[in-house]
Amino acid sequence: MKNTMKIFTVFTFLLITSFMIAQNDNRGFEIAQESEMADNGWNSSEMELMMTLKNKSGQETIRKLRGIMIEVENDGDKSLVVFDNPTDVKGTASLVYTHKTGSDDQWLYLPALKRIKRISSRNKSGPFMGSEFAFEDMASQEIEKYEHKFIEASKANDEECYLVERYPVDKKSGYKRQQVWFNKGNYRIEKIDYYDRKDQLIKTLTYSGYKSYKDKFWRADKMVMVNHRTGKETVIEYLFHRLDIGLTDNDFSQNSLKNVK
Amino acid sequence: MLNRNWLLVSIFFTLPFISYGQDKVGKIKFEGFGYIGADFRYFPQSGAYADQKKAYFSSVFKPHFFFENNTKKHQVNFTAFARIDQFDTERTHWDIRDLYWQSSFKNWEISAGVKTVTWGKTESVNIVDIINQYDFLEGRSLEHKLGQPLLQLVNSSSLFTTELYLMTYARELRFPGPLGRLTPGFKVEYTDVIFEEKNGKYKPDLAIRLSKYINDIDIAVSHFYGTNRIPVFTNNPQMKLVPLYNQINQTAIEFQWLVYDFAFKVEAIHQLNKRKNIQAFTIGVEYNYYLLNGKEVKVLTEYTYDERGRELITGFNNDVFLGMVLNFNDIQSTSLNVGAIYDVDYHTTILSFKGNRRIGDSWKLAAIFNGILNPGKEDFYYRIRKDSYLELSLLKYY
Repeated sequence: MKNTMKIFTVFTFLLITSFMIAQNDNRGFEIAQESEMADNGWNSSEMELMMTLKNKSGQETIRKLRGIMIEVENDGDKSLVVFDNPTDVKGTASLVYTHKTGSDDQWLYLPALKRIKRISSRNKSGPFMGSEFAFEDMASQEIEKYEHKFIEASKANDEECYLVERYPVDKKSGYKRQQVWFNKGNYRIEKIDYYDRKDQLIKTLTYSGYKSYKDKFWRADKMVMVNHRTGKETVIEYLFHRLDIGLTDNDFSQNSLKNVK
Repeated sequence: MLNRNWLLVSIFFTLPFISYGQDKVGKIKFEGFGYIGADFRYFPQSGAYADQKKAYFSSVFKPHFFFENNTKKHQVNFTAFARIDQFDTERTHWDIRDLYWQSSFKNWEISAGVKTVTWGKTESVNIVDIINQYDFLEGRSLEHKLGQPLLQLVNSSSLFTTELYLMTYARELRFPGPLGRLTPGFKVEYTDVIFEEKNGKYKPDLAIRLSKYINDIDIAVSHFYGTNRIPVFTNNPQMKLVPLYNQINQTAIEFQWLVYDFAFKVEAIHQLNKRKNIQAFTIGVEYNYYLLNGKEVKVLTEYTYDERGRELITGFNNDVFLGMVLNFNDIQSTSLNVGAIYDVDYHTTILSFKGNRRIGDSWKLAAIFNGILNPGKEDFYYRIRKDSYLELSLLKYY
C-alpha cells in the first residue's frame, strides 16, 4: 500500500512537472517564482493611497482609498479596500479572497443600503473606479494565474531586468499577454506592458520610488498607468504603507466590511 | 417619529468626542460627513384627494459622525436624517437612523443603541428584512428605513456568522399626510394604534440569524419573534382606519448562488401570528455582463408571491419584476436603472427609471420617473393611482 502511494506520488509529481514545463517556459516561471518568494512573509499590511485620474487634456480627478491585506498560507491573499473619496461613495468597501486556482470570492458593502453583496469576480477586465486600472490589475498577482515565458535580459527604469512574458490563464482576462520587467537584483517589478486580446499594446504600468520595508520587502511609492489608446493616465501614490502589523483573519470577515469606515 | 430628547441625547453623546478627536492622540479617529440637498417632485395628474398639489419642493439633510478609539476596538456611529417638505407637514420628518456604540473583541462584536440593519439578497423587495421599519415618508422604494433601538451581538467564525438581536420600541409605519402625495387617502388613526401585546411597542423582540458561504453559494437562516413591522389595518366601530401590529414568529431563509455570470437568488418566509400562517417567497435571476468599453450591464428578473395578498401594503403580493442596470464605470459614476413591476392579480404595472451622475467631486444629480399604470381597484396602488411622478434631486456631499 505504502509503495503504491509512493509510486503514485512520484508519478503525479512527474506528470505535474512535465505539464508545467510544457505550459511554462522554465526560466520565465522561475523568475516569477523568485519574485513571489522574495515577497513572502510580510504577513499583513496596511496602506492608504491616492489615485489621480488624468484625461487627455490634463484634467485631474482625485480618489482616496485605504486598504488592509493578509497573506494566506497555500492560497491567494485576502484584501479589504474602503473608499474615502468621492464623498458620495465614502464607506463603500470591497473584500476579496484571492485564490491560486479558480475564481476569487468578492463582497461589496454599500453603506447607503447597509447591505453586503456577494458579487461575481469573473468580470475582471472592467475599470476600477473609472481609472485606467482594470480590476485584474489591482488584484493580487498570483503566479498560478499566468503561464510564463522568459524573453531576454533587458533594461527598465535604468535597472537591469529580466523581461518575462506572461499569459493569463483565465479566459475572462482582458489581456492576451503582459510583458513584465523583473529587477535582476531583487525581483521587484519595474514595468508592465499590457496587450489586449487583439495583441495590441494598450497600457503601460511603471513603478517608481521603491522603498524597502523591514529590510526585505520592496514597495513602490508610485505607480503610473498610461493608456496608449485613449491618452488617459492614472497615477497611484501611496500615502503610507505598513507591513507585518499583526492583523488576523477576523479583520477580513464579511462582517468586518461594515466596520471599516 | 422619535421625540426631541433623542436629538439632545445624540448631541450630548457626540460633543465630547469632537474635542477628543482634535487632540490627535494616537490614532483616534473622528469624522463628520454626509449630504444636504434639494428635491423637486412633479405629479402630472391632479391628486385623487382634495388639497393635494402637483409640485413639491423639499430639502433633505443626512449627517453622519463616526468615532473610533486608538485601539480600533470601540466605535460610535451616528446617522441622522431630516426632510422638510414644502406642503406636507407629515412628510416633514426627522429620524435617527444610527446612534450606537460598538465594541469588538477577537471574533465577537457588540452594538448597543439605534441601528439600521439590512437582511436579504434579492433586489426588488427583501421579504426577510425585518429588523427596521420602512420609512414610507421617503417614498415606496423600500430602501429607506427607520432606526431601530437594539442590542446586537455578532460572532464571526470559520463555520458561520451568527447575529443575535434584542430589540424594544418597535417603530410605527407612517404615511404622507393629506397635503402630500403617495398617501393612501384614508386618515390613519395613529393615536388609536393597536399592539397585540399589553406592553405595546416596548415589548421586547428577539431575532437570530446565521449566515455562511460555501464556494459560490451564500446562505442565511433567521428567526424573528416579536412585533411585526408591517401593520394590518382594521376598521373599528367608528369606521376609523387603525393600524394593528401583530406578534409574530417568522422563520426565513436567504440563498444566492453565483454561476458564471448569473446569480440565482431565493428569499422565503414562514410567519405565524394569532390569525393565520403566512408563506411568502421571492425567486430571481441576475445576469451581469461587461461590454468591451468597460460598461457594465445587469439584467434581472424576480418573482414574489406573498399569501398576505391585498392586505400587504408593500404591494408585493404576486408580482413579476424586470430590471436593467447600466453602469458606465466612468469618473462620474453614471448609472441608469430601468424597472417594471407587474402585479399578476390586479394587473397594476409600476414603471421606474432612475439616472444618476456625479457632478464635480461632491455633487450628485438624479432624475427619477415613477409611473403607476392601470392599477386594479383591489390593489393598494389604486389609492395612489394618480401619483405617477418625475423627480429631480441634487445632493451636495461633504
